[in-house]
Amino acid sequence: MSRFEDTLQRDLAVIADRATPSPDAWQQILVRIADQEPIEETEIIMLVENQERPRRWPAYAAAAAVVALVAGGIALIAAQDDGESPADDPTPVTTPAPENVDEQGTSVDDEDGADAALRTVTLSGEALLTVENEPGDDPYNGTFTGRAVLTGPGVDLDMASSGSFTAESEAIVDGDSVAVLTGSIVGIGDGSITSEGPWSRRDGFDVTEDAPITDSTGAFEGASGTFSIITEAESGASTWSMTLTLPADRFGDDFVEGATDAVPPAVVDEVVPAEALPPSGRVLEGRYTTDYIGTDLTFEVTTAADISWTTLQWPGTIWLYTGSGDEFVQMTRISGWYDADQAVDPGVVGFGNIAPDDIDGLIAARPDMLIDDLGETEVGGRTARWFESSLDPTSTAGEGICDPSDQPCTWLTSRSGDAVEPDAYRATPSLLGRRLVRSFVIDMDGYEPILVEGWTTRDDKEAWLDEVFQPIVDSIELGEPTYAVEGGRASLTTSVVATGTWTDADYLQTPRDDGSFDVTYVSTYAGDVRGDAPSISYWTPVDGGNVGGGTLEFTGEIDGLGTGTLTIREESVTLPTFLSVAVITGGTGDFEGASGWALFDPNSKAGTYEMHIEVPARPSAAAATRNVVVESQFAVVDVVQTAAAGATLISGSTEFTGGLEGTAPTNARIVGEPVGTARAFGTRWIEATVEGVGTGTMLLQGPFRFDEAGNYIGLANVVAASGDLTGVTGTVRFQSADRGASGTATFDLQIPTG
Amino acid sequence: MAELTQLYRAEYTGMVRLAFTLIGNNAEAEEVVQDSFVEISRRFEDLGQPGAYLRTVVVSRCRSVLRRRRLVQQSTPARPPDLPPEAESLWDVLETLPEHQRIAVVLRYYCGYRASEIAQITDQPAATVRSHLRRAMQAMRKELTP
Repeated sequence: MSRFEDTLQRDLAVIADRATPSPDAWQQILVRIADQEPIEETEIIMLVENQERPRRWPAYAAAAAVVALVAGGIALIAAQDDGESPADDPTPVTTPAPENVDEQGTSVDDEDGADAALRTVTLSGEALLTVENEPGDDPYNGTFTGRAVLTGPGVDLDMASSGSFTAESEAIVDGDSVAVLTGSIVGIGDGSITSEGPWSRRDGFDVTEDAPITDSTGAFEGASGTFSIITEAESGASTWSMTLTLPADRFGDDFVEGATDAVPPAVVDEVVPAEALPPSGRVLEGRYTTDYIGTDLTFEVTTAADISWTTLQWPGTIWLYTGSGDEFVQMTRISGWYDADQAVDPGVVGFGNIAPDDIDGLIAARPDMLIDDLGETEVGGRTARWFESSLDPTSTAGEGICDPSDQPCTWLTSRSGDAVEPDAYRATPSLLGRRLVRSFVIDMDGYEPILVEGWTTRDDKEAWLDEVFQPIVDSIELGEPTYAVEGGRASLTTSVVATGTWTDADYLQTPRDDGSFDVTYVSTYAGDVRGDAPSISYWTPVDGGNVGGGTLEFTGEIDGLGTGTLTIREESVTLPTFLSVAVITGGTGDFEGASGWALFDPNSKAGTYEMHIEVPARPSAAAATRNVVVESQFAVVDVVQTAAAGATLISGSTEFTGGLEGTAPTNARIVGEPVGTARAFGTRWIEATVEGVGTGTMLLQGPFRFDEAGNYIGLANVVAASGDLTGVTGTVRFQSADRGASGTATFDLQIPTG
Repeated sequence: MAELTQLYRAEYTGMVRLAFTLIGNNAEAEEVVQDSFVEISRRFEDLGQPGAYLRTVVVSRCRSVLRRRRLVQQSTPARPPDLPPEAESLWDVLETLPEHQRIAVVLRYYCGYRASEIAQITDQPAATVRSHLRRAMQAMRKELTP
């Protein structure tokens, strides 16, 4: 223990010694234990009738707080203290029952007669709350709908709310809401309760306070009282409370007084149904599920993430990344072996061949990796090893043994091998090199482990990992173990190259407070592709232009394939030579499982397109594979490079020589965004012969990162293959030179052996 | 009841000190602990380790106190007048720490629990607890180291 820790330990003990436990505490506890039920009811009656309450503030914390209804990014709720400091009254508690309380602690309404005995109780708990604006509303004047699940002792209520609001700013919002609570309270029964009242946002809290109950049905019929809910806008944490008055005989013996709940009820993960994670596009607060990694995986994105998530998905991997590019969450299967025997076979090499119980081996093999911490935990009910790592900026040991989770190592080796933090980072401003990674390797019973990682280069790395990434990890639910996604081993069945023209209409631009804006529009396609594609895109002003991307949901027909829908994710850069490359991430109908890429050459709101679409066959269960790692040199023939506004555009056919020899035809397109948010997503076909395997084609998709010199590191997955390469999966790591004109590519492939 | 009495004798003072260190107010600390004993009494028969449960409940309630303070922007408790200067500084820094960090620090350096034990008490992954500790220590070193 350090001297500082010794001092800390000593001073904490000094502080603790200032506590002065009451000598008659035991008597007070005994009284409360003996009388706790009547006392609880008496206290609540006091609260209602006398507007005074004994000092049992934890019971009333939520009651003192208020109701919240959040509207999209605009939230609507307000907080209020109970006006009573817990420190004001040191006496722990019990107020004698007033005279108009019967021996059961039930109040008697003197005015209405003895048979109108009423009982008032307070209930409270936590809430899961989602609210969104009505479509078309602007951020400052509109309507919203909300949904919440209220939990608490014996309470199972769904809240549906709606209302309208006006806003001076994001922080000052006022409005009214109607909340309908439907469900059950143990000891009372099933029914619904409606409350109506004002709400507001002030000082980061969204609040509705003491909204009167205006209607009730079922077991709650005739109820009176108030409902309150408060949401901390930053974290999204919500608490609710209700004072509920009903005839005393409505309460059964099994009624649970919520005000005495000792341990805050845990958030129930299952209460909000998970939505299918969109193949691409923006991910907001909510619970999502995906089968992209083979085993069903569900997770939750909370409002604690003050960012708009956007997903990238391809078979076997999910990426969630933010607009800034400073942080990512990746969930992927560690490929490389398909059974436990292969996993421990030292003859099977390549990244990913690290069993969950061999994290120590991985670390030992990575002298360039600095391990801040590691241990065991549980993720989604399964055993997981975790570690937190960064890269040693002074090390050159990582060259050649990087894996997808630590792509900085090569970069650092080649560009800042003798770097010393922090000056060297400023001299060679690599976002990658400053990355902190928290990794979880989830054991899947001999199937490929699932790797869940949070990567961040922010200044407050630990805060981001704790407050944004970790809740996602904690929320993960997993299905039965199975092989990695079948799409990752897809073989080709049909491919088309479709060309034609498109026009856009119905543009609607919606500004956001941060200066960025959303655009919705409808594209109509003619030519080989015929149909419409409602689209939404997100744009951020950068250096006098706008950088953004979006998602197109095409419905229609495509010559050679049939009819259905296609989901297309677009990564664009506004440049003098505006070219947009998009990735086809999925489809339905005849386009189910589609992949490929599209090139849009726009001219204002119309232009030409070129789509390369593959519809893979559904493969059967994974076969045994062998691992092949080959390295090639690549060079772009007829290089077309465009650099403007800090961006790089590279095109031209690419020749590969070495362990993999072949050509990537002229369909290679990589668009880089301005440095600082330097990232891109690339798609390319390679017609190649892999040494020791055979000849065929492979479709590669994956992200690229650019440095200031215009060079990139790219990681791509093999998402489809044909010919002798049918069924091949794996990854390719690109390291470019000469602004992408040449470089090296390492192919780490799994070759079916069946 | 005999077992509860025994638990009270063994734990009450220590729990009040723990709660006081966490939330900095003697009256609130006593109430938290007394509430926790009342809670324990309801389910005492079902508890295999009532001492561990008591500790968890006390910490949970203290976290609720800290959270509520933050939510309603309630002022922090006054510093005890007779603290030595070093402890005064620590008191002030503790008041600035986020609740998870404060709890982690107190459980680690006052109670002596390991991160894995704190993880169980606070129902968080051990990795998160370690992160809380690291960040808290960084903040405290910055404020307390000359």
